[in-house]
Amino acid sequence: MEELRQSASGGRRPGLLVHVVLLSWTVLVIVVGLLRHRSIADLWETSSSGTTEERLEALQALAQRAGAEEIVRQYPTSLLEADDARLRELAFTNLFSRSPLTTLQQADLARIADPSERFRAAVWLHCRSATPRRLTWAELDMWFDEAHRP
Amino acid sequence: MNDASPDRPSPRLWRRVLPWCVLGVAIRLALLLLAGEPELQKDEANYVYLALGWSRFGFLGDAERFLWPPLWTWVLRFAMELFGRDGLFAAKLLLVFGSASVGASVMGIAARLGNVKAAHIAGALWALHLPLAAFTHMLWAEPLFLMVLAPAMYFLVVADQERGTRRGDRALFAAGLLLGVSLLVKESAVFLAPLLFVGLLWSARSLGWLESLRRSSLFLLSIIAVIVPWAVRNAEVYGHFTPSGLSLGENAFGGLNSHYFNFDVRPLSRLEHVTEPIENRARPAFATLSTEGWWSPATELTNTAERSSEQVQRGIAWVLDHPGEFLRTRVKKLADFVLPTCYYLRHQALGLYDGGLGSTLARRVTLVWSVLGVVGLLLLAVPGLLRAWRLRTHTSAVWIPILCAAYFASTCLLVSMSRFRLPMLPCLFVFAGLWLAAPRGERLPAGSGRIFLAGGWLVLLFLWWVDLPEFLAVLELTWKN
Repeated sequence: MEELRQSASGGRRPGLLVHVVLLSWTVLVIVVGLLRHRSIADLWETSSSGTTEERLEALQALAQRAGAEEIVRQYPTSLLEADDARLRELAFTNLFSRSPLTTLQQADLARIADPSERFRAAVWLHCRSATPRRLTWAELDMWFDEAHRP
Repeated sequence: MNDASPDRPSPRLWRRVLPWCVLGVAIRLALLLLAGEPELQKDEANYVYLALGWSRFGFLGDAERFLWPPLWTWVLRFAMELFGRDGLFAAKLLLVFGSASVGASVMGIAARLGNVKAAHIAGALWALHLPLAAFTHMLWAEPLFLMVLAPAMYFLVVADQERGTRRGDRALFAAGLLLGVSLLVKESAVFLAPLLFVGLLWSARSLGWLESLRRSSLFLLSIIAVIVPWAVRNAEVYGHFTPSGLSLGENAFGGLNSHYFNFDVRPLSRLEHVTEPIENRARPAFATLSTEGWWSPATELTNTAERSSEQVQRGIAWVLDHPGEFLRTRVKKLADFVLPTCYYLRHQALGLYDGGLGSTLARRVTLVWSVLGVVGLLLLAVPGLLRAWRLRTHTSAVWIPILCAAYFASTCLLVSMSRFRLPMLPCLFVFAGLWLAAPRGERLPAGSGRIFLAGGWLVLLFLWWVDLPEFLAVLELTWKN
């Protein structure tokens, strides 16, 4: 009884309930992570046949986990033919810039028809190429307000 | 109450130290409003770029050479999605007002380890330290990092002083959660967590090893619970378990290699009238100015985690091959760490401020304020550290700021610049407060303490001498602009 009273008043001393909760949470996250884990083969499949969100996510992991040669065989040039603007823009980010052989350059921007999309792709390309990567306030103005675009 | 006896922060104490929090926030807000819109610098632009990318593509990318933890980029992304371009200003406002948590924590720690007077002094130092205050109008992650790290340190102090109670356990839990969050902002505290775990284990050994283990494991589990979703995500994306970030390899490339750079001065070389890189002025006895033995980054590896790991290996190999060069260049790293300059002065020298801060008067006044602030704080921190060291025998939890300060100082041995000094500043404010608030008769240490005090100051003077050529260049460029 005394122990209970002390515990309630901030005195001595709790048990292991919080430990159990924290440990359970940690184990749960790891188990869910393991259950959702995708092999490289799964990622290849999703990167070509999933929804846009799934493809974007798969491409990010593929760019890291697949070998450089494998990824350049497929991407980023083919992404310019994708039916979603975000996938086309993604081709210009640093996701694929690790292999200079297939890195898209300034000339490739012309293949994007929509001016807004082309502007965003140009920002990715500029930020990817510049050393240091330098995003300017002018670019940010244009990013958030089409009226500022040339 | 005896001057030297610890004060447990009460609502009354918080009310008494509140004015320092208000002053600190007011100074930061004034700096933000007077700064205008400085051109984004390297890492700032990178954070914004990553935030835009996250918003557009739905995932956080890496900066190609390294992966930053997600929280600061997430804040920028969230702010820009909410307010558009003004989101960046909103994020800076968050840093300005959130910095009050650093001030309050510093004062709380000083009160608990010293007394109310120490809290006032530490609070004043925090409020007025321009190099720290100025970071709240920039877009680096450090202010957010400190917003959670400083309270984590405060709660650790509470937990250590009230060990064995529910209040102590709650504080431990809060400290773990906050330190976990700090690891989602910056990677630099990643090795501090296990050190604090061991410290907690040791400090509570009088309660019995089982109870001590129960307490310290609560702290560790709280940290892990916060970072585990991010670590699992990284395992999926990179194929490697990564608890915080992946910048160690890049830092190894920078710091364990046959070259020298210091980002406090390097960007100044791009000024038109600077004809030679300022780093070339470094005393050759301490800096590597030739590229003999230089190793290249592992660009052949496309996986960021593997590249980082490989570069760490190359860095270690360089140390083993060049032990003499490693040791002499560490002196330079330490000198760069205590160099009385800061990013604010770098901004001023580059002429980046288009608001009121860019005026000649503001530039020169703040130059003096900034340099004197750093010099004064470091000079005070030496006796402050000695005072804290002496207090450890009869005041529990003093080991916490000592360990944190030593840890962050040691990180500069890899890569060094004034920005890396920021995580250590809360500890230095506390040390200075403890010393200045000590009874007059106890301020000057006796016996060997005097030797350590003189030695500490001499080391500091020596390190300032090592960096004097570059420092003079910074002063000249900032003064003349």
